[in-house]
Amino acid sequence: MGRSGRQFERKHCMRCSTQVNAMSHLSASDISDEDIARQVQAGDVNAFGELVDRYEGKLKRYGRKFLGNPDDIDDIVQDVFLRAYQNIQGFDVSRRFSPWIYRIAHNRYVNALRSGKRLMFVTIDEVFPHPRAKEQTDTELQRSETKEMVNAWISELVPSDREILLLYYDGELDYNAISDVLRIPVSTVGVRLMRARKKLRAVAEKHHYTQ
Amino acid sequence: MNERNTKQTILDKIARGEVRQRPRAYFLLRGVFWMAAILLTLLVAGFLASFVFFTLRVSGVGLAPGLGFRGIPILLGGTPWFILLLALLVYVVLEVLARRYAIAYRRPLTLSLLIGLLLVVGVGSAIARTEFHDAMFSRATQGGLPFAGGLYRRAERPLPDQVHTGVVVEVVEEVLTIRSSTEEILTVHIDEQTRTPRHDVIEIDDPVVVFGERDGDSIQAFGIRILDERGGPPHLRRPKAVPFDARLHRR
Repeated sequence: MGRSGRQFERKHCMRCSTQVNAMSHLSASDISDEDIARQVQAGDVNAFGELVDRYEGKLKRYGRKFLGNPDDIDDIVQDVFLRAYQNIQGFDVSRRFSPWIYRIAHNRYVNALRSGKRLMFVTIDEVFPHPRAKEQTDTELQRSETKEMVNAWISELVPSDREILLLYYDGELDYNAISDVLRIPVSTVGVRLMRARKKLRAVAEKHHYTQ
Repeated sequence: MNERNTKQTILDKIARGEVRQRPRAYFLLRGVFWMAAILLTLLVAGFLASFVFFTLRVSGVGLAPGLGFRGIPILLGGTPWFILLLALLVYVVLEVLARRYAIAYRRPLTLSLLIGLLLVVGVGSAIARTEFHDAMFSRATQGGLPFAGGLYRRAERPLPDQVHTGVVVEVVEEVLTIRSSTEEILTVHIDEQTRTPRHDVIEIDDPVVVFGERDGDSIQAFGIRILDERGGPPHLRRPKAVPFDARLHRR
């Protein structure tokens, strides 16, 4: 799957032996989300379908943290994509697409949970500076093990812990991107992620223990 | 609803025109709007802060902490709390607006608040350095400022029984006579407890602020300070010295 940061470039098409830069000549996995967004901005509606394909599953899994009813989640995910399309001209293609769409989803799910009541609150984590929890570069094995734990036991965690783990492991967002989605300080992202991992391991150990 | 339907439903709605892309100009205008709102809020908060600085300067209350513990109640009593609270309220609005941007929300709240506070104080200090408030004050004392005039007139005398500004007209040992900013002649008594300026001698024509309880036309001073060229009400200040130009005075 294409990732952010890749510039859209002219390529030599091996099939028709010409220099091309048309999207149709590249396989879908070669094109980054940001390049697809640029195409949508230029008027290519079908390109938006590719973004729907890439993010629908992730946004639904993210939504399960907030809402229990799958039909509600489906409706909201549809609404998220429609809002994303409506506001696509406001997306800066030099930035990453995934935090942008996760932010729309986050707002939409929070609104659904609060039934339209806008409550502003700040947690103690966000008020004071933390010695920044360094962004861990997990090994592939560590990441895949943690991701398995997330899939298996996430329902046993509180929503705030679920949210941060999903964004990091399922959404594959870095600390800065998660900060952009949740509008919390970067240092707070590190602290919350550390806590959530600890709790997740405790849940996993509890299950192994009872076995 | 399976994934195929979701995608198709979305694309169908787009094709039918039920959802349209907002034009880029919308986002540009929105960005300009929020930046203008932030700038305006910063200016308002800074202006209110500058009025607080002006009040402390024109009344002489800002010099009270230099008198030690006795000066602290004077400072607290002479601070325009209503304006200060209003400035804080506007500052909170500024912080809420600023948290739309990564530069604010990526930082812990305390840091972001501190930076915002420094900005407000900076803008307030810059405005306070101009002649704006002095000009408004002069108009207010001449009755020419219908809405804010009361605020400016009160700024000069926040604690009329404890803080007195005036010009020295006579110095006799431990008694000063001053002509106050309200044109009253007051006798100021100095004793060994009175904190007087350390490095300056009080002379006739010096603009001063006297701290002490007033009894009739007498004040038992516990502190006296000489006002600098920007301190006290404008009509008490010394006229600025005109530079001597030898060419004009050649015979």
